[in-house]
Amino acid sequence: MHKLDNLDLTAKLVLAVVTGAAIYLIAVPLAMLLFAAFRGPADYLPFEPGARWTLEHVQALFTDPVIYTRILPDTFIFVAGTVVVAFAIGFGLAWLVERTDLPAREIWFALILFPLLVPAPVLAIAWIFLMGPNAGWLNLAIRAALGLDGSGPINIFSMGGLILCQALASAPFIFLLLSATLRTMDPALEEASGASGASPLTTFGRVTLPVLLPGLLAPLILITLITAEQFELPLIIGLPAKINVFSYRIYFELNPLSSLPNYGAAAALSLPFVVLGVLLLMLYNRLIRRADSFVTMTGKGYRQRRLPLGAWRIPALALAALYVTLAAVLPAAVLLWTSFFGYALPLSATSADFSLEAYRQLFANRAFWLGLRNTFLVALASALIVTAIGGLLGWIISRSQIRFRHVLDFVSVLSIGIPAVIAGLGVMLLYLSLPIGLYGSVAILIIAYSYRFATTTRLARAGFLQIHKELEEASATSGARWLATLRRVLIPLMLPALSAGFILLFIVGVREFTIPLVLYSQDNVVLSVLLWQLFQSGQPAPSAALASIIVAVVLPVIFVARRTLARRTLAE
Amino acid sequence: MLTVKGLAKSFPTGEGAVRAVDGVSFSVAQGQCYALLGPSGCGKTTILRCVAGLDRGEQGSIAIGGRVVSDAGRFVPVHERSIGMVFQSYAIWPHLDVFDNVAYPLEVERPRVARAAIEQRVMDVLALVGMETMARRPATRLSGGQQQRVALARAIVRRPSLLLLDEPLSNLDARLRDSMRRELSTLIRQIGVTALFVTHDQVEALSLADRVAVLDQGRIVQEGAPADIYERPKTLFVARFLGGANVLAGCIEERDCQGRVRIALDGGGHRLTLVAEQRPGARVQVVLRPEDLTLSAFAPADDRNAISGRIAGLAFQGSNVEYEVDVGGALLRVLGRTHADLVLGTPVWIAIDMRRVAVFCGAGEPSAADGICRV
Repeated sequence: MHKLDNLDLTAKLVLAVVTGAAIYLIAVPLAMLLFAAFRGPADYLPFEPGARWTLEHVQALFTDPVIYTRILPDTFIFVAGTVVVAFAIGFGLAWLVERTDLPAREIWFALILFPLLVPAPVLAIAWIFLMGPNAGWLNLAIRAALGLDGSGPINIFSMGGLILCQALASAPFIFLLLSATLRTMDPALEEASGASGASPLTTFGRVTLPVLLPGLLAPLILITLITAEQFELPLIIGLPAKINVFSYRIYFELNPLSSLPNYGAAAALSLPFVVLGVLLLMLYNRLIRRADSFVTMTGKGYRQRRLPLGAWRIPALALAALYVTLAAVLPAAVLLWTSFFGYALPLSATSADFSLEAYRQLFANRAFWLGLRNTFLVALASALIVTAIGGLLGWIISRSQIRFRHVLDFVSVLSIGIPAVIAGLGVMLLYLSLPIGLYGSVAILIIAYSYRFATTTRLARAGFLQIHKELEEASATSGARWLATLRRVLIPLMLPALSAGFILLFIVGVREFTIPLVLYSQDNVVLSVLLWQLFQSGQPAPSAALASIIVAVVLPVIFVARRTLARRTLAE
Repeated sequence: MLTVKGLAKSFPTGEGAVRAVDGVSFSVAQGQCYALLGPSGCGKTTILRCVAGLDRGEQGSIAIGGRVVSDAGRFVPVHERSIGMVFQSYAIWPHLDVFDNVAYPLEVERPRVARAAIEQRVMDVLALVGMETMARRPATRLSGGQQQRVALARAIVRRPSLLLLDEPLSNLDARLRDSMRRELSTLIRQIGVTALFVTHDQVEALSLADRVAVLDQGRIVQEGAPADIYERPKTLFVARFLGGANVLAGCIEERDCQGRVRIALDGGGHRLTLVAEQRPGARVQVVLRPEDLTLSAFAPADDRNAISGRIAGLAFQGSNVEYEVDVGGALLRVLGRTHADLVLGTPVWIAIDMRRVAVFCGAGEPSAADGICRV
């Protein structure tokens, strides 16, 4: 264990920089948020000349009836509904893939990850094409089959539609969390049930579920938190349905229809959100620690023995296929089709309807090329920054005895509890106030994206746990300085964990929509924002073309991701 | 070569700080092999880590080769100390092959060592440990014994002043341990390096070291040459720890003018006559090593040096049998040859070599806490 005074100068310097950077990237924007909530008048930045201390925003928060009659109920129903549906889907899929002899498990595993990899607006737009009340493919098909007229029967622009879409989008996340848990469960527990004469279904209900229960609670809390932070689908699907959730409301205060942005109100609205997030995270951490000590999970690699599905194989396959069809296959198909055929339908289209015009338009659009460059630049740069900082934070937390390491741990975990919309708001307030000309640039996006340390830090901590401390000490006793140990021993050994974290962050960066939307300018447009703008301005074919391109870019990542992430570490 | 003075270090626990090392002083002469021997938790590894610079003592000083590396105001970091260390887990880096593992200390050395010199020295040291044909084998494909050799090669390749070994043989299986112990002993003497090692295995300490310090609860309880410590343990703890000995409680009945005492053992009515320092009436603990006891089915001629009992258990070990003999309340472990007549329940006699019996003051039994018994 390293105490601060046992480290050499380089080590102290590097660690000081890392610590400073982590605090700057997470805590400073949050502090700005806190200031802004208590500074007014409304459209003044917290430190602008003329701004003063005020409680008006916080008062407004408690007295505004809209919050109690609309926002709170809508948010609650949205979150509760999504969590229930997504958890059922995710758990069912994870159990089928990890614990049973479902055929073609590897393929299912890859396909299930699809919604996790593409930007949410891509999915939202595809689902609108599929389930729009008038011209949605599914509705057209159902109406044709049943001989109905008018619109519907499915209306995506409703609370039910929003919940269904969000659940489809979030299920892979739960799937990943739970498949790790299920993989480390001793199969003998289930086999003992089978040997006692229980059917697979009975075993599932009487053994699998009760044994896993403590391990399920933590993912449940995490998904609740993450659902509450969702912004993309509530904006694209919820807004036309007049559903008003918290995250959208914050965005609305910044971009009101007819007046100046109300920074104070947005900040005040964010505060309870952040507090709730922190509380849930503390509970989550506590539960994780308890679940880790649960005796049936040893983390050792068991030789996988799977439950034979027998006659249940067909229904199981049908369930998996249903999810994959709704969440991956149909969305990809409808986007690709629309990009070539516009509104013409698959069965009635002729070759005359086929057109490359959408792609031509897109490629002629300067914003497309700029967005393409920005998307990759920002995703790569922020993934690098966060991997470097998160990896070193992981070292400090797991290997040093430096006194403030628990604070760093907390700061890094905190990043899960900060919704993207609030992260964007904090960064916006900070750089609107700082006269260094970053606002509106690509650099501000890199900075704003680079606050998600939690995943890397966790991956790094798990990685360091697997690296015997003596491997590091052996380098020091061989005469190597800290930096040489870092470069020649730690980084090579941590490479698998770090690259998993890097890929994950890169994907998150490519998917990011909320932060670049909040911080949008002509110069820093990214593909996900451009997609939404095209769709909003009534250009279905070019937006479908852009979405198809994004999917085509993301698809190869699935196979890298499946190998590196899923098998190894994602659920850490 | 190595001087440790008044070293102390404590670790925080749930109930306050625990003194892991409590004022330990010793020195190791040039070319000597020195063992810190003790049960787990006695502080021996902490001492080793303080010498290495992986931990820092709170009090005391450490000097390696005349240079103070750690005292109240000074702390030379681990990478600037002239040491080589073999870790308990061997700590062979899995991302490097055998050659690169061993070359590492030379590669990080400043000023730089020329590549050709590195190759020469690595191959030399690999030859020394008999691994020269496996230079390019990945570290992940080494057996336990091979890992041990690589770890040793890596520790000595930059010719350190001091070689530190943390339980160097504990990770090997029993058969391999014996041969590696002999090999290690030869190697350390061959290269003439000063070595400090910690172990909880008395055989390892006694056979490898020139000097041994026995530790208990963070303190050195006895220090000396191996034979000296084994023959003349100063405390009951040392006697027990070194011998796997039988300990019987009793009290001194009488003492003659030649210094011989008669000890009445608790429980069985047995008496032993031997030379000891304690006065009549004192409670004592009598330590009998299994190898100093001889089992027979008949009463020996001089029954003052024998006690009778009944075989209560036996464990066949090949050429030997470990018998457990019930001598009236206490069980004695006796090593003997396999004998067809000696079965469970057989009445036997144990002849004792009285010159090798150690007697210590002290109660041991709660019933005689005062240390005095009625004669």
